Amino acid sequence: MTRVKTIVGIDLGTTNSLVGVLQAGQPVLLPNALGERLTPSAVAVDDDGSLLVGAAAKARAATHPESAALAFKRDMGTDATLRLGDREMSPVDLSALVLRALVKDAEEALGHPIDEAVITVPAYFGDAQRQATRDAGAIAGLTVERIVNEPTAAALAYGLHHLERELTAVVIDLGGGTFDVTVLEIMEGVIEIRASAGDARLGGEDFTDAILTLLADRARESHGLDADAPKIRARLREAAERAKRQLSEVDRAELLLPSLAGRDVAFDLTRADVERAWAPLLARLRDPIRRALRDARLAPTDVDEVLMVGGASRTPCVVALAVELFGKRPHTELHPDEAVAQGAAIQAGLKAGDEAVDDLVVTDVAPFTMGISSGTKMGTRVVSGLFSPILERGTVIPASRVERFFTLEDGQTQLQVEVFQGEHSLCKDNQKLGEMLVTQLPHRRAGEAWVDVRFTYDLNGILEVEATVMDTGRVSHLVLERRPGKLSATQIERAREAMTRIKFHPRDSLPNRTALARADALYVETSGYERELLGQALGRLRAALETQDAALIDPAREALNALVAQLRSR
Amino acid sequence: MNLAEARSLLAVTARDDAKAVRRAYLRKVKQHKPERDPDGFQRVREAYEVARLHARLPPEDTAPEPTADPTPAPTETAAEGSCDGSVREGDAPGDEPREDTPSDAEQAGPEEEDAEDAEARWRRWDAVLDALDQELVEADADTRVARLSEAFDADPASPELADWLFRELAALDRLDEAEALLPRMDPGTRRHLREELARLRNPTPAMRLGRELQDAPKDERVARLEAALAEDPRSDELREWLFHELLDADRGADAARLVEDASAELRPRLAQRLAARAPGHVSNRSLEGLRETAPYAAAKVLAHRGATAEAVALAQELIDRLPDEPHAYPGAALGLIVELAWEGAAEEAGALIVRLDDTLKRAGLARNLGQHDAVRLLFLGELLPLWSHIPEDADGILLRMAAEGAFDELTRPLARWASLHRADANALLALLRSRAPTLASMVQDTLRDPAAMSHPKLAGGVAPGWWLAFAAFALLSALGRIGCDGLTPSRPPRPAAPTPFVQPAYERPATSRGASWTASACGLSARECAAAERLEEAVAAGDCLGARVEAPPTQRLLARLEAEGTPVAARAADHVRDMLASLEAMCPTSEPGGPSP
Repeated sequence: MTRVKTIVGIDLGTTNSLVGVLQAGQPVLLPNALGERLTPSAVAVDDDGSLLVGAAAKARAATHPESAALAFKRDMGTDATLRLGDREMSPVDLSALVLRALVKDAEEALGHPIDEAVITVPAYFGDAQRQATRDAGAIAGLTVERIVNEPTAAALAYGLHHLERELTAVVIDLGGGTFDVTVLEIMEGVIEIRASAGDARLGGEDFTDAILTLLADRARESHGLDADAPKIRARLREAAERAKRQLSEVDRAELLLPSLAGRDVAFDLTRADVERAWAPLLARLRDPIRRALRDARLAPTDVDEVLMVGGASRTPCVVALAVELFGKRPHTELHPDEAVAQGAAIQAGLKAGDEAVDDLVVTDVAPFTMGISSGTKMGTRVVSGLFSPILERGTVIPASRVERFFTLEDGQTQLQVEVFQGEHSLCKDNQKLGEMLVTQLPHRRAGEAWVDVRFTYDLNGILEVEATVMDTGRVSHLVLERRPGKLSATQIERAREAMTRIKFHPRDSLPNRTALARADALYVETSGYERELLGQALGRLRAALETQDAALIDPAREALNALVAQLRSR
Repeated sequence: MNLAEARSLLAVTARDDAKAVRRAYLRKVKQHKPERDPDGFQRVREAYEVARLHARLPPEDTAPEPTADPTPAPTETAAEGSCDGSVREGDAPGDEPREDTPSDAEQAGPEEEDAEDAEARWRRWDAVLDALDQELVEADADTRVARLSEAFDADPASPELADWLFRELAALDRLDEAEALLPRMDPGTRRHLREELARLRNPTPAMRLGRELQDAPKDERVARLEAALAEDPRSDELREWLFHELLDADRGADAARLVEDASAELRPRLAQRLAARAPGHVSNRSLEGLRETAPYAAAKVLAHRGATAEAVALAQELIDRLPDEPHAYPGAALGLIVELAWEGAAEEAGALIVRLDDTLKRAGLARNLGQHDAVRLLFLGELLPLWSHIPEDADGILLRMAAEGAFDELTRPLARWASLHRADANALLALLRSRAPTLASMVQDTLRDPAAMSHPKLAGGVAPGWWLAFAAFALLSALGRIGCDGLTPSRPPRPAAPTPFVQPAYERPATSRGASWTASACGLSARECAAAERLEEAVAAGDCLGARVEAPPTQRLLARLEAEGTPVAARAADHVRDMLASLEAMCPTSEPGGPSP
């Protein structure tokens, strides 16, 4: 029997991840083991040392913060590591774990194995971060040939249904950890990304952090608590998240934290308090929007549709900002949490050559300028450290551009090609991507020897640099210097193997583990009679698990979940 | 890809406007999806970029506003006057970095929209001009006119293009054709060129003389000019022209005499030039005038005369004044300090540097200055005399430096230089060890390991005091003429006027690198004449070392020119011989290189 070739699309988000496929020309998101389409991007270590991924891990983070990892997407492409239990894990390892869990669940849902995926990244992710994402996929046992920008994916999800129209739209994607703005045009059935801007370190988590800071200050001042202690901080963070969600709907939220370091604590937050705390964050949202419009040479009034994507875009004051800037209400057709994953699924279909999307064409652009460091002569003096762009932001990709650079010195036989990414005119204000030394230039007078430097930027946003020495046709390829977090092929292979040996909780026991973790988290929060009830239900499930009898386990779990749901809704 | 290919690929014609071209592109893209056919897609995209550039504007767009500001000039533009080594007070260094735009995004909506349209337009025109530059570098005048006319027909709105075409036609004396172009230009350009045309149609005696003397040898030009000026002593045009001729002929005294009789308007300008090129000939009267109009130049003259104390006092005053001048260009002060050093007041110059550093730091201007890397490196070669006046605790100061990249720029060039001048490198090390052990060990590390980019001891630090780092750099650069990074993006310059000595009316608008020595004047290709050009600049700047390096190739060039035998080559040979003579006069040391360690 021939295997069906399926490529899945994965939205690997800071807070939540999703996976989907294209079926009958429509993106379909696949449920995880718990029946949910959203899987928290969380990893935790259980008491027995096995790893939890997803909702269970997120629940555990509230009670055992030192053995859980959240929001590690923000550290992709860096050297940061986290200690979980007795393991030292990098953001790539953690992402790989999440990917692995997603794929396993997807395989269950589809009924056949998956070995290829398209993964989304923020448009503003640089080379190191994109490579890290691919590495994570490889460690998880996936072939990842295509990385697609999140706002482009959202544009796909939207555009799929509007190909016959002609319009200009702006996608505002405020996810858990990153902010992307993309301007796109649909004309003649082609989705053209016109401009892309953003902030790779601004997202819903920052909004939560702002509330957390507010709560922490109050906890210190009014209640004399040490808000820096990990357990207390974790509780406060969880409360901050709750507050964020509640204050999206109502103007005032009362947060109860019983048994917080031995006492019951309550916080009273108004929407106004919170919006004050968010003012600097909201200000940071404006600049990328303006820059994207300017790059696309559009005025806000030229925009026909505003699409808001990403969980944090549901926040009322963010929506208000969009309304203020564009003079119209955002389009509500797109599901803020699911749009990117839908787009990823569509892209997966495009890659697989699915006929249903044969007509769909999307063009993307480079989100930032790339170039090299250069010098110039003024009279006989030399000025250096200047940024010479080779590939400007907004260039439609894939693109290949070449510039010629001449020597400044007589007899110069080497040229240091230093690659930078950014918009500033001096290299020191930009971000360095790597460098290579081009040697064996022919001996010539200054200005008479040259090197052609070619930048090739592909659809995945991976940059290749090629330097050709004059007349000799000799070409040096740039192997981008080892960025922190970047892995070699052997390292990836080793990590992948290690992953297969990691002890995970058996999948079929995941619902039980999750139920226990969720109940446990609530147990910590409650007191009195409710707590007693909860304690009893927890005890019953734990006892049932000892018997390993599904007939006893399942009802006990259902009862516990029902109780938890009931208590939480109070 | 050229225009014809592009249009054919997209199936559009010259009559299709920008919108139609875009639609054609989008339709074509569907046949070459980037996912499926990346190479095909890139070709389609390239075709679109080319066709779009030459497409007519869609009918609903109105004519561009000539008042819109163009985008800032690229950083490679040479500052006017900097090549002479003199620094005009108040002048910015001539490069405005292409700043990132988000910080500008705070403006109100409607004005921003206009500015954006204009910016996009200017960018488009720039692209067209750059393309033409490249294409027409070696082309003859007729080809140039033909191509420019074609470009002009496609888009008459670009003022720079219109100006260029106009001047080409004017140079060929096709004034009627030039006039015919005017109605199609935008109002601003039209007005300005109409005035030009009037002048061309009714040339002043000076202009007429200029055209006549275009190909004349230098002596004849000077003689004729003197005669003409004697007949019409009030002509500023003639006076200024003769002044420059005399300066170039090294007749400073005669040039100075011209300054004395000049009109009130012209005198300050000429005096300043004289102060820069031949300070010994500046009269007292001019000097008084310079104190008012160009105090830095005045200080230089004082120093040249040996009135060191006065010069230093004036310099101190100027430095102290810096924080009060909002548009102060601290580089001018630095330039003056360098001049003082060259004029023998090296010790005082050292003290002035410290004073300048303090003043800037106190005024919070140090950051500004640090950003002008051009300033920093501009005067490196001349700081050599200051090296011997580095204070005893240089090491302490160096350790204090935050560096902000200053040391990054030192270490790599050091490595390169060291590999070329091994013996000198060891000599340098010996010198450094006695004055600045930290710097010495840094140099040593770098010589051992060229990949070393930073010295552990220099991490952290207090305030950027890069003056001394540059003194070190100056020594190195003087000994080995180190460049930085070693890369420069370079475009062939636009073809300039036929000879360097013709009246400005016939010159094309100067864009990059106002070179005074052009291939056509030299009679050979641009590359071959480049050494002579660099020599000329170095001599004008008073840079003995720089000039000395260029001397051998220039001598070879001279031999070539003499062998050529054509009149153009002969004239060029004269010019080169003069340059070499001035070099000898200016820098009488018999051996190349700087002072021995």
